[in-house]
Amino acid sequence: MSQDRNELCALTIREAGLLISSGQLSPVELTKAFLERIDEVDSRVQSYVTVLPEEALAQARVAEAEVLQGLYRGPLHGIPIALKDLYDTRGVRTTGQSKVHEHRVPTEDATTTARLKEGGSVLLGKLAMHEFALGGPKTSLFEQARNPWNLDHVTGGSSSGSGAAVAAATCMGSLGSDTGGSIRGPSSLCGIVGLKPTYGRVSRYGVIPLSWSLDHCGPMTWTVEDTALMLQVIAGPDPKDPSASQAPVPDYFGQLRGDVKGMVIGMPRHYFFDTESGLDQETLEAVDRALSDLESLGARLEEVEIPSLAYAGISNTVIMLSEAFAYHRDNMVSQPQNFGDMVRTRFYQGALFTAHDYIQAQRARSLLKREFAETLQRVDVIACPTSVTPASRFEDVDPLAALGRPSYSAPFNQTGLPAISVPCGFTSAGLPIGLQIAGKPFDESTVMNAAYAYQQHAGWFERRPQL
Amino acid sequence: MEENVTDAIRLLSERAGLSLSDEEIEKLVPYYQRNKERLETLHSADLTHDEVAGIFPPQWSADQGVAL
Repeated sequence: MSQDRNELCALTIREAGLLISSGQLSPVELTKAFLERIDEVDSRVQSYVTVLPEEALAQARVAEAEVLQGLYRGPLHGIPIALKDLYDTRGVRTTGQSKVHEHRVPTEDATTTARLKEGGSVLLGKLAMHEFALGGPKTSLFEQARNPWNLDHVTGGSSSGSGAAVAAATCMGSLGSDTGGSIRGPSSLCGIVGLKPTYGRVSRYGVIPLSWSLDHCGPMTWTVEDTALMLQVIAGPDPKDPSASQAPVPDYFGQLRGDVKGMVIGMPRHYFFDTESGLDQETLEAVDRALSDLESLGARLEEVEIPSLAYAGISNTVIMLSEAFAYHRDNMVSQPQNFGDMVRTRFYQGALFTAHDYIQAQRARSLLKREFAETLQRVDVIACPTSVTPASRFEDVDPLAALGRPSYSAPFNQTGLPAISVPCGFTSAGLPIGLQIAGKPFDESTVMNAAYAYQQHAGWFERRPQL
Repeated sequence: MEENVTDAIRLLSERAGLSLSDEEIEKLVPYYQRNKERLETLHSADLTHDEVAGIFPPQWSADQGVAL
């Protein structure tokens, strides 16, 4: 029975969806398998802050009845998922993993939550995160998630529980939020796939903000196909979010061809491949091997220069922390003791930037957008490492040292360009490494197609952490 | 020098409506100094042609959904 259960939990969304739609797999059986696995492993991984067994089984029973009646809703029907505790869930506590919101129970779903429900998915629970999507692995509420590949190591943040739960196979997919890399970072460090879509592609309504102009919502899954299936359900216009685009939503899954012949891949080596600025040597070698693999599949590699990347780190810090302080300011004044030390220190930094700093950062952002737009007229996608280093040990986390490191993910928050992280190997210590692929606005299909081609060629998804 | 930094942090934080203790201000000193160093890069950038507002360049196409 235990073997059967673990086999069920190792299915991808795509595989489980095919079995459910053909009546070969019961959503109730699948949901029970995940609830049992959460019981068995999550006391060690600590990815869930709220588990919803009764609600999940009730949703699974409804899904099962609908499928039996021929009312199949699509590839997420009956699929057990979980959400970062930043996504509003009607009637279910949503805290941002902060004592500030310890008793906050939303009366409305986030648009993305509602769309996943309409798609028939089953909500297993809410997942751990860095406090208010920023702080670090010490928060004012709940334990922090641990990396399933080595429990002494961090998952990366801020979507820490999402990365850990997908990697630990305690849910089939999750949503993270990404303001400076919070989907792609944990995806890279936990060996899963995570997509930050184009700004405006997915509604932010009902997701506790960190920085309005940099926040993105997106899927975190085991495979690229699953990311495409989740994006299909959550993408699209939303009258409740003024930044949500009217751009049509293509058939993401249908456009996964696994073919990169003739694709031109740009590599800004001067910024993203520089070991002198802190890039881990094993990460560099793994990403270089992945790029060679893509070349062997028919892509053409081209070195590109984007000089304004030199300002990307500091401009993201200024914009993110200034906007974050503006949003949290009233609570920072009235109840500072309810913020954890790490997030409070970071929000305070946001209060210390001037209007001049903020405007200069936005001007640098405009320059960055312009240079990326010019580059993307010559190349189809840009590829680079997702993270500067693999997952560190908890005791080695140093917020001050982190301020000096380059960010490989933040440039894509400022430009709003779609960017995905796909596993591209492991360190000698067995920790995952991620390859980041970014593309043109609203061209998630090309980005995912490149990642899919690599994933199918390399096969890293066949390796699972042992828990 | 150190005193100037703590004074600056106190001034900026009070202006933002915060009442930080001496201990909290001391804790912020290395972060403030590190960010100040990083800001020098930003303030030395040539941004003559870059505005804050969103810009729709002439080559913008509706197919792209939004302008870069």
